[in-house]
Order: sequence, then structure tokens, then C-alpha cells
Amino acid sequence: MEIKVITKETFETEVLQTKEPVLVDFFAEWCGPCKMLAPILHEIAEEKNDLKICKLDIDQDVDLALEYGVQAVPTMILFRQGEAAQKIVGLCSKDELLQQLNL
Amino acid sequence: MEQYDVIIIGAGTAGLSAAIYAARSGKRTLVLEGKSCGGQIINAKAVVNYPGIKQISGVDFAMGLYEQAVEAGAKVLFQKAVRMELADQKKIVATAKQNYACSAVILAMGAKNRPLGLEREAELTGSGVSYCATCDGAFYKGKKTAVVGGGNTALEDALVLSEYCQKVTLIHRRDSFRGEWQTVQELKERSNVEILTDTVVTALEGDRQLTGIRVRNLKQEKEWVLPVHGLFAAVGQIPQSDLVRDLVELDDYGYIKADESCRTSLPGIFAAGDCRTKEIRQLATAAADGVTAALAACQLA
Repeated sequence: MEIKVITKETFETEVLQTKEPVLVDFFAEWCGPCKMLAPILHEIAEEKNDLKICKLDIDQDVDLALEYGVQAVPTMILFRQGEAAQKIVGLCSKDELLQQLNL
Repeated sequence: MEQYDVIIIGAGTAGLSAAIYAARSGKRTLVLEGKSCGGQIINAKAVVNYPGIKQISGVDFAMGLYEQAVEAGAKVLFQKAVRMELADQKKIVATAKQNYACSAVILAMGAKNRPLGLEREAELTGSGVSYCATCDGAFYKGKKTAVVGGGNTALEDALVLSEYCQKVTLIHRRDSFRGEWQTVQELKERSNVEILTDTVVTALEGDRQLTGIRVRNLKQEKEWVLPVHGLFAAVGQIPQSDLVRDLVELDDYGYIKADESCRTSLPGIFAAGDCRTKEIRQLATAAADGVTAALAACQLA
């Protein structure tokens, strides 16, 4: 599945109201580790058809990021049925990421 | 089993440079990487010594390599190679997920800097803590720095830093140096170099940026704080050669033995970059190795 760029306007429909699990990558354009993470997320998106992946630029929607306690980038939050179920902070390997998210 | 012409293990500078050349030569090229791409260079805030590029961040350099390799047609997969074996004329590389077969393998697993083992060391790496004076020394022009280690790398790092730092303190846990005697004499003659033997670093000070280090003299049981902006650890590297430990020849330190064409002791297996035996380990020499290994591998594949 393709990675969708979302904003606070589309967050409700793209994330909270989505039945399948959604992984949101809170990133920033200036963040190096975020860039390193991008190809890893891209590979996961290609492999996992039952997972939706979205990315949100924290500089565009800082309030939303703060609402979910995002204080560092990259932070990834896995939403299940609209609830933040799991949170991962920082660059990690694909294996670590999948393991921590129980995917 | 998926078939490739060339499989490259490790997506650092050497591995991705090899991938660009192998893919551009029309070879089916696979790169396997267990972490993120780029290798050690992603920790560099600024790369200013790569010929032809005046300044670039380590991350941008790595992403440029990655994109260039993918656009050239190489496939990069984030899977860690866990096993390698030989089968007839083919080499089989296994990850936890599946097996891949190829004609030639390029080993580009790199090396890890041996950490000092201090609390918050990882956090302050790039913010005062460095493992490469040649790379990062210039950021500390006119400032106070310290070097830890007793080998030639530590001695030469101290010498290089003393050219432009206000003060350099060389710290070694033993009372004599493993490195060359002549370099030690040269350091002793420099007025801005202080040598502390029988001394270890016990803690890093500073909130987001290193401001000082706590040191301890082992003989006098004395501990104090040394104000420094930069701490250069030169206590060796750990080559990441476990995968091929029983397959190809390694030197006493675990580096993969390879000649100038990057050939290892086994035909069809090449080693490029920091994981192979060589004198100079710089970004440009890693890239050069990748190119050399790829072109040699392409002759077989």
C-alpha cells in the first residue's frame, strides 16, 4: 500500500476512523533519521497489505503532534481502532520496528 | 530461490557504491542491509572531505547513494544476511526470511567503532563525542579536546588536533603507548598537548553538548573534571565479519583479507570498505573499494 501524507484535516478520516491498523510516522523535513527511515517504511508498506502507513509533518501540525506526546522525530504511533496502541521513538531497523509493533 | 548476479551485503558507502556500478553494468544486483542504509557516515553532521563535494550532511550523502543505487536498478532490501554458503558455482546468502543465490558476493559489512562504554556516549555522539579526528577534528578549531587511546590512531589523532585546537589532552589507561615512540616524542614537544597516562575517562559532562569529561588517575586514585568540547575515542574498531568467519581468511583483528582488487581468499567473494584489511578507512576509499569490487565481480557474474 502507498504511504499517504496526512494533515490534521485528514487525520480523523485517514487514521481514527480507519478499521485496519494505521502506522503514523511523525516526521520533519529537517530530520536526518526520518530520511533514513523512509525507505524502511516504504518496504514495509509494500509488503504488508493489512497495514496502512501515513506520514505527518510535525512542523505543519505541531498541535496534533503534541496531543499525541510526540516530542522527538521520528516518532511512529500505531493506531488500532482509533486508539494509539504503540509508540516507537527514533530510527530503528525494520526487524526491530516490526517486532515492537507485533506485526 | 531468487537469483541475482551480484549480492552485496551491507548498504554503507562501499556497498551502495558497488551497487551503483554493478547495476549500471546491467547485472541483477541485490543489496541486503540489516539496519538503515548509509553505514557510519549517517552520524556525520557534515562531510567536508569528499572530493568534489564541498559540503554535505552524512544523511544526505547516504540518501543520495541509496537513491542513485535504486535508480540504477539495484534492489535494496532491509533484511539482515545471517548465513552464507557455497553451492556448486553459486553462492547462497540467507536472511531470516529467505535465501538468495548469486554468482558473486561483495562483503561490505563495515566496522563499528569500539565505544568507550560510558553512560550517554551514544546520545552525545556527534555532539562532542567522535570516533574520527580526521573527519570531525576541524569542528573543534581553537577549542579544547581530548583523545582516548594508546595506539597509533590515538597518537596521530592527537597530533592532527594539536595543529588547530587550543589544547589537546591525550588520555591512556596504561603507562606506556602501543603506538610509535617517535610520535609520542613529537607530542611531548608540543606546548598545547598534555599527556595523561594511567588515566581513564569515567563520565561525560554536558547537557546536549559535551562540556567536559570526568577522568580518573588509576595510580593516584584521583578524579577530576577536564573541560573539553570534543572527545575523540580511538580505542579501535570492530570489523563486522562474523558472517564469513569460517568462510574466508581474516586477519588477527577480524578484518577480511583482500587484495587491491578486493578479492578475498575465496573466488567470487569480494570485500569492500571498512571490513577489509587496508591502511586508510575514509569515505572516499570506501567508495573506491565499492567500485573496484563491483567491476571485479561483474567479470564473473
